[in-house]
Amino acid sequence: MAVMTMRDALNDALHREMERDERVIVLGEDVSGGAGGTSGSRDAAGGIFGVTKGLLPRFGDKRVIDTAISESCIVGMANGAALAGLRPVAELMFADFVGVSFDQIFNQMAKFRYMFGGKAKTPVVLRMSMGAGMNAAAQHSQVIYPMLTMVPGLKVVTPSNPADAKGLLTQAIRDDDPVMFLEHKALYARKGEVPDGDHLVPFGEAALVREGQDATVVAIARMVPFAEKALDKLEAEGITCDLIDLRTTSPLDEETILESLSLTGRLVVVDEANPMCSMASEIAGLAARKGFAHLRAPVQCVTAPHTPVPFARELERLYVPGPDRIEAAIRDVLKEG
Amino acid sequence: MQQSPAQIRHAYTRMRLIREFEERLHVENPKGEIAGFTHLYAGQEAIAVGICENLDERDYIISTHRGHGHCLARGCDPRDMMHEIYGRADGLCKGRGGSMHIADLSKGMLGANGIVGGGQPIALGAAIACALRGDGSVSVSFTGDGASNQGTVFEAMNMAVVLKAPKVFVFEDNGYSEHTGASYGIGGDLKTRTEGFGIPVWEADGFDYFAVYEAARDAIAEARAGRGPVAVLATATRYFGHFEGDPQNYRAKDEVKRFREEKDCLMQMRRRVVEAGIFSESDLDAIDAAVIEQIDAAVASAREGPRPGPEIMLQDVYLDY
Amino acid sequence: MARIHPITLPKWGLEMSEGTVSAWHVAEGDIAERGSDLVDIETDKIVNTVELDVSGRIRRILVASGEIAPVGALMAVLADDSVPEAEVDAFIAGFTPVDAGFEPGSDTASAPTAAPAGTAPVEAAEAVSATPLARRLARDHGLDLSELTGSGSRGRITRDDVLAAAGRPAALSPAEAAARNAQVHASPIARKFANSAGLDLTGVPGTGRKGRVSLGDAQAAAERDGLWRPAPKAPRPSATAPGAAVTGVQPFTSMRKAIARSVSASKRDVPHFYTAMPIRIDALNALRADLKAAPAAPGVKITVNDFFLRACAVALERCPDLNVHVTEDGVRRFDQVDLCLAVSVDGGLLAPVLRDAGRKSVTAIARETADLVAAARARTLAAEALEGGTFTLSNLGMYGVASFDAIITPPQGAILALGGPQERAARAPGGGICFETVVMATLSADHRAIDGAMAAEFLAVLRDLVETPIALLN
Repeated sequence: MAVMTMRDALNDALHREMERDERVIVLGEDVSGGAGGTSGSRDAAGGIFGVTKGLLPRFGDKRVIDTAISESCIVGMANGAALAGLRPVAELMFADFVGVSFDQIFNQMAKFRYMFGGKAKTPVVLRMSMGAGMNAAAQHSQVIYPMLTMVPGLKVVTPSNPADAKGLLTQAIRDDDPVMFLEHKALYARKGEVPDGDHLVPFGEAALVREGQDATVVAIARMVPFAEKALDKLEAEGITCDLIDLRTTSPLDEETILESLSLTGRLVVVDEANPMCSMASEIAGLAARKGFAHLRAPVQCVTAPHTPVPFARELERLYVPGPDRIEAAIRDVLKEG
Repeated sequence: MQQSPAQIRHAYTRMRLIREFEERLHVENPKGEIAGFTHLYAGQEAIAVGICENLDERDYIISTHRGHGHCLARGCDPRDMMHEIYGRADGLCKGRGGSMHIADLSKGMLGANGIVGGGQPIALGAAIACALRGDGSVSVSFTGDGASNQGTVFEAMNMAVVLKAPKVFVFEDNGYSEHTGASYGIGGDLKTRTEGFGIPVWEADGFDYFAVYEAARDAIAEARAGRGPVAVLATATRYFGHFEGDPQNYRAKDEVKRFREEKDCLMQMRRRVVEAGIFSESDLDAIDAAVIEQIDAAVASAREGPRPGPEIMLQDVYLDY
Repeated sequence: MARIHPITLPKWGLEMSEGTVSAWHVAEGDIAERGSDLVDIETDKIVNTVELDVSGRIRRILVASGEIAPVGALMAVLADDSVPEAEVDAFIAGFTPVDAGFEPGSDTASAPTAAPAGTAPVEAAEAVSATPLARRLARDHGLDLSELTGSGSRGRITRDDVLAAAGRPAALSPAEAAARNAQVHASPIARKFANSAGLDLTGVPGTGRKGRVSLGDAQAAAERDGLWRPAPKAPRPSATAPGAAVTGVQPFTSMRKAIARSVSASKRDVPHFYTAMPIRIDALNALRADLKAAPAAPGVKITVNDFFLRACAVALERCPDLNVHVTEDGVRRFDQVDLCLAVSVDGGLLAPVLRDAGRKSVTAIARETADLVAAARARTLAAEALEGGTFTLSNLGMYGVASFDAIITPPQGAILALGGPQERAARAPGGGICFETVVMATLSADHRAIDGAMAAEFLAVLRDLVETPIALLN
């Protein structure tokens, strides 16, 4: 075990998988950086968030490919390379740029296998940074996993800590289906213990981060550490909760949620997405469909408001669901029944 | 130089305003009061101003993530912009947009855009509106060398030719597409590409205000006359990183210093204007001093500006819901 | 340079919220030159060096090597030697760093709800069941939803219900329609349909060849105008009917028709704009309580509305630009304020006139208003009591409405809409928080004659009068 940031854990997984399997390639804008520049450095960026640092010097520019700012082309190239037998890990600097490349994602890679009669394999990993919290404003701050989760054919991964980030990225690269890998930009600097060597976290298994008795809290990505903060405070008063980190929104681990709900009878879902058609509404729906008999109080959803992400610090701090709002929701769900 | 002294004064003032605005933000940004991304335009002033001095109030422009220069050249209020960049409730976009999304539709400024290549089809849409009005107005898109590789740009060029739209494609080659050199990212060259669509290209030294102005004047006249889309290709450099805080490992240490000393657009303009006897050094110094005072005031008031509250977050998602 | 110059931990790029001071290149007491290297700062991404942007003596170093500090933290202080130590210490003690952290707000009270934005305006009418589109149209047409009957499931008010209430073009007689439609470029079957439905085809956009109006175009226009409905599809057999059954159709009364015509014409032809002003009525409420308790109490109950009528009249005398009629040939001004008061009556709305309200005391206004309202509800108003007003006040405060936009009654230039009292928290004059009671006054004005500044000025005068109500007793 070593303590490292999520950025380094992801970097470690990429190094290992490129070492292990020469079909793995990395492509995107500035994944190395510096090509055509005047400094002569060919690893000048290593990705806008530094996740792909050091790959180019190690594996060369045939396998670590800098691209122009052409997101449709980046994703399309990854699709084609995958159909032709490679295992591409493509990067979109910001998840928001899915907007530029969505055809290649939801009409192409997601549908190949099904449309082509089960004959195609598209082992693409599309990595992207997501989330608010850094005042990057409306076009660089969205968590778009609900949009991706609704597309059949895509797997959607949302790690909340360094160990899971390494294990899930390794699994994603070895997975034969297209995987949307969403890295919360406010978590890159989050530190934690990471297993040495090969580490795999399977898809569709949520993590039970904490065990408790009074309520079930389901959280995603950056909302997990926020929920932990809220629970720290409540535990001092003797209130304990199950905290479930979904880890993947597709496949969704319904069983873990429903099992916990059957024990606690109360559910709070914390989701940084906008409220409509969100993971929060999806999981609330799940509770209504399959956990109705266990519910002792209305499900509480803690989400961002139905607005774009605002720029100003004061506004973004209101926008992002934080520990205090999570705590309030847990208290609300405990009031009834 | 066929421009009147008043025109030259106007253009010089706008260029100086952009320069001081950006230089000041470079100083203020590390202090932490300004949140989020800040992309500075310093070094490329002659392009924005050389183009916009040829526009009138009927026309439209659309900008990029590096938008402060285009906004100021188009006449946006520097105080209101500064308030926006500081995220104040009385900023140009109520603190919701910030540096990357400054827009002033009342000035035909259709917005700085955080999506690289997002603006060109939008500007083409505005050009269609210009054509429909039939008043000789034009729509201008600013596109960096990096953005020139987006499919949307090719799509917009094609449709502009098909529709013979009064659209002015301004390509600003500042040598870098984020952290990668333009020479790596662009296959072929911008001029041949554009001409391949049948769009005539006027080239200009992007450090030379007069060269850009004259190229834009001739190009825009064609578009206004209804002879279809045109392009202006200008080359300059950005003095700062891709964003504030960019360590610029892709760039040689003395690269910017050389451009500043040998090519700087304001330096060149000063020299030519003084040599031609249009203004004296002290005339221009007075303009500079007034601009610096204006920027000082804008920063001071932005620092004290009103912080936005929850009501500002919840407004304007829709007109009506 | 200022006498004292702070050196703060810089923000380099989007992600940086804190940094580690990895090495100082200077020590306390050194003189450092502008442009020289000061300190190395490390994040988990980069190491970079802070260069000095001024020259001076390093008087304090506050963050030691190896320590982590947030962006904006005071790392060092420069000052020239003339600055005494105590002043440097005072500067450090009084320094407030920028909060550049990434943590969300801790203020749960102000945190937004997950509800879609924009629901606030409809909350007041929430008790009535209506579709969102119907609510919007009702607001646009100035209709009170509670007065409408819904035809949707469980009595929900739909778009069509609102449009019907707003009054749409009446059907022509078949002969009249035939005469009008004879010259329209339409297919024979479309013309036949239009004539029988009483639809005027003039202006109906045609989608057929060379713009010919097809049967579909005519049907769409007729449906839009409420003249025709497509036959319902045969219902699937079902044990219970899927919704409420229509229990009858109530034709428009003549008053309803007149209102519908008038508001439709106004909303269509008058370029409305809206200006709202919150007005505190705490002082007014206190004054009313005093009046009630006074030994020489007036023999009539003076309502908040009476005070607003009085304040409106005075404000209009001071702002004569709003006391106008807007006509084809120009703006007509008047030498007195004839103030209309919108009164809700059975089946509609009347607006009797308080003549020369500017010269009437608030007691006189209270008395006369009570009489006018009673007469309006009893339908005993004389015809002239409804003619010639110069401005209208409409008040829905008694229904708990927060605020609303009223439709101007042409040729009047403006109308004022009052919401009900709302308590809100405010900063108390001596510090701390207090509650204040506010009424939202929304002015709808005809932009052909009245500009924003004029509207704002009127509202400001009105506010000042109501907030210092003692003057209204004169």
